[in-house]
Amino acid sequence: MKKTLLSWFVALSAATTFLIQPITALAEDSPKEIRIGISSAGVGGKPKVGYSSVTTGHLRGVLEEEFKKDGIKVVWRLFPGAGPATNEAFSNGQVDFGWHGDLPAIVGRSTGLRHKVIFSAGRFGPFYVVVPADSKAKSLEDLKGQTISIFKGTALQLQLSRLLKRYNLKESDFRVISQDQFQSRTSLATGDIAAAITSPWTLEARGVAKRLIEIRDDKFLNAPLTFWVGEEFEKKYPHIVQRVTTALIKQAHWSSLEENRNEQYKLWAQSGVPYLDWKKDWDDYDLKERHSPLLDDHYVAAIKQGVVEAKEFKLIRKDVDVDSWIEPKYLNTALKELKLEGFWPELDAQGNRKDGKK
Amino acid sequence: MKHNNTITKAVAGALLALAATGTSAYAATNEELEKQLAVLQQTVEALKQQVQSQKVAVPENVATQDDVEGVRADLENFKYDESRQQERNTAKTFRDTTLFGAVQTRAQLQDHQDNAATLAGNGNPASNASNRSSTFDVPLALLGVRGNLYKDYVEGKNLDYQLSFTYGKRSDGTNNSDFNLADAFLRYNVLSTNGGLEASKLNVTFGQQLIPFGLEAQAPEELRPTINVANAPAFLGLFNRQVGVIVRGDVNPFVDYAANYRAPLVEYAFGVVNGNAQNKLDNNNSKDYLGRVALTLPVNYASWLRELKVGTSFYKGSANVKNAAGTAVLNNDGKSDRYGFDLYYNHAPYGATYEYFQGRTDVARANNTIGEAKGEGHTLTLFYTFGDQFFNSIKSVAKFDDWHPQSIQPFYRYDYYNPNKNAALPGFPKDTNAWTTQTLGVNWFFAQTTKLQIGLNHVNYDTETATKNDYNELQAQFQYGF
Repeated sequence: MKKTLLSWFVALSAATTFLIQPITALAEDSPKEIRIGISSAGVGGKPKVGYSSVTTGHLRGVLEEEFKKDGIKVVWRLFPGAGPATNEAFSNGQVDFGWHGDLPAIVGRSTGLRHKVIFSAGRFGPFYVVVPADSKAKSLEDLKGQTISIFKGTALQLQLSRLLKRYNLKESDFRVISQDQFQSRTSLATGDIAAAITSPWTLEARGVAKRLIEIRDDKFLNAPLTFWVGEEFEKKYPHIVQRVTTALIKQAHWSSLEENRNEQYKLWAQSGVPYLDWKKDWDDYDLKERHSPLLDDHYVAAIKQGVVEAKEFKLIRKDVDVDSWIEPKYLNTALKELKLEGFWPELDAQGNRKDGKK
Repeated sequence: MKHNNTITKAVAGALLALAATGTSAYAATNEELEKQLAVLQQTVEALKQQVQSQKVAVPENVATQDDVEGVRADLENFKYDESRQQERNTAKTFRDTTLFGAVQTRAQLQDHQDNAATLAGNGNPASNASNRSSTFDVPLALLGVRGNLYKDYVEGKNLDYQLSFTYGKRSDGTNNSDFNLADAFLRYNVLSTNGGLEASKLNVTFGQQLIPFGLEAQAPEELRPTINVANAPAFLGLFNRQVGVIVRGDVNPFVDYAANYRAPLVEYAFGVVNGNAQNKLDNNNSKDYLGRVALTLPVNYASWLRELKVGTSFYKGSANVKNAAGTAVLNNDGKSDRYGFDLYYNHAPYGATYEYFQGRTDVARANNTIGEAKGEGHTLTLFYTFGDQFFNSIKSVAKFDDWHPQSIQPFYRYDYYNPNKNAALPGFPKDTNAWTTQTLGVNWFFAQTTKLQIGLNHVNYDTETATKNDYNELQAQFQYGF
């Protein structure tokens, strides 16, 4: 019988080794797969998202096309847990690239996550404070002492802080709770919260909520989105980082062309956010400005301001050196290869076009 | 509207022309009048055609009344189907309810057929009951519901409930089993549950529940890491559910917004229970008291020291101490105290837990005096995880199909228990009943709520006897939850 057990033990060890083997298969000169973390998910947890040229790249399969010939698999991981989930996945070696809002990227960097910013992945856009349809509030001041919902840990947290500062208010003037986008919309519909920072359109269509504040022209309320690569991956596979960057900058160019505006809205509608909502949020914006991948003065100033604010609002404990965080060489090479130098307008630190155009 | 204006203008123009010609009507011949009439008719015809063509030229992307009616019909059909299904095909409850359950199915093989049932207390069937060396078994079948009785949307001070049942084999020789009440409690969250990660927590649970002692004893059945539970807490009765009221909470949570990681600096629990285990009234006039404090290192999620927790627990129990014959109670406030210390570290892929247990139990001697048995146990578990199963981000990643990350977790467990280190008492000889179980195993999480566990146990008695021989055991178990 003991012999039997010994053979069982050997079999158990062999089985474990066999089961583990495919998971631990080692990479060679090129990775077997490229894993991209997207800090968002579609309605109801759909693995499709709009808003950015990067997510349009996902919807159009541009990276899959780029790496098809090499047999490199492209894995897109879309996280309903938003920016913090991307950080968690990166901390545990589950993603190589990330698409992030400013706060989670800054907080991640401040807690020791090692990645390099390689291009900007979207900026500007409208900002809404939405209240239940029967709300009597006429201003933020009227909501004092009431409950405001945001998804803490995401870029929305900094946006709320900036907004409150703009109106000389403090977070402690309200009861700020943490809900994801879908929970906060439900709570608005049932009137259980006084306000949320969220898209108003589907709620207004149902007659359950209305806009209290709509800001469409603030250059710093919605800070630029960031696309980064893990330092370890970058060191190992710089040629792959360049190809990923070039493919996505090519995509940013496609996304910035006026002729593709409508098609892009239709692609984004696959996320479950209706086509008409995209139109309402985007029609009055210049696509080139919103999809600019440039790491220009505006990008740097906005991220630096985000660091200062994150510290001021006690969301980070350690400082972040933005200058050493940014690695522009992949973007510059891509712009040169694609002959797109000068295609996107450079913005100064205040968010104004350097060429003087409005 | 635009073409209506055009028609009006055109007709008005034609009539004016007719009127103008009418001023010289006396001079006009019938022939001229007919000509004018013909022109007028042609004008009207042309205008009619213009109107027709403008109707056809309605832009394609403008919904017509028919389109709107069509959409409305679809919507009404959808609403009808929804309400019909809601009424006829949906299980209903008065309150928010989640149905949950867990089942284990097991096979095991032992290389000794003559051991006494000393280890039956840890849920493992004794080997010698029918002189068998192998058996199939269903050690666990649990079915429950949970939800909330009152949902406080504003502050999240919810009133929650849980009710669950587990099956238990009968030991009367029949093929029957019982369905026993397991959890039956309601829980009120005194502090807000939606105030964000930085808010402290505090809740009060009233009813039958697992007790907050150590690590493994307070984990629900479906979350315990190994096939057999640890020996010391099993034999010291710490897996028993108790009826009473227990307060649980934490203070000063450290929050790392990078990964929404929350590490409460201090977690605490205290409570009062009957001490007579589940589904029974109290059996004496003394209540049992319990408490636990755990400290977690306040470090960022990215730190190597994340999820490093140290805890200590106590259970101050009172038991009826009966005489050796079991016919009379010698002391209805006998000691049944338990103490514990635990260490927890989980930084994927590495993980380790250690628990120390000490039990002090009053036992009657043959001369009706009472002595104290001092039991002691150590349980160390080391594991390494291959795969993504335990990352919140990966578990909740957006997906269309039933994809779920797989994980394989080899582990080693060292589990020692000595029922009595003090002077010998009836049923509690000094040291000689001690044994060690070492387990080498692997958990394969191959679906979202299902795992295959394989364990090779080596049981080693400090003192072997005719009915207590060292033995080896191979176990395989599927566990699924829903």
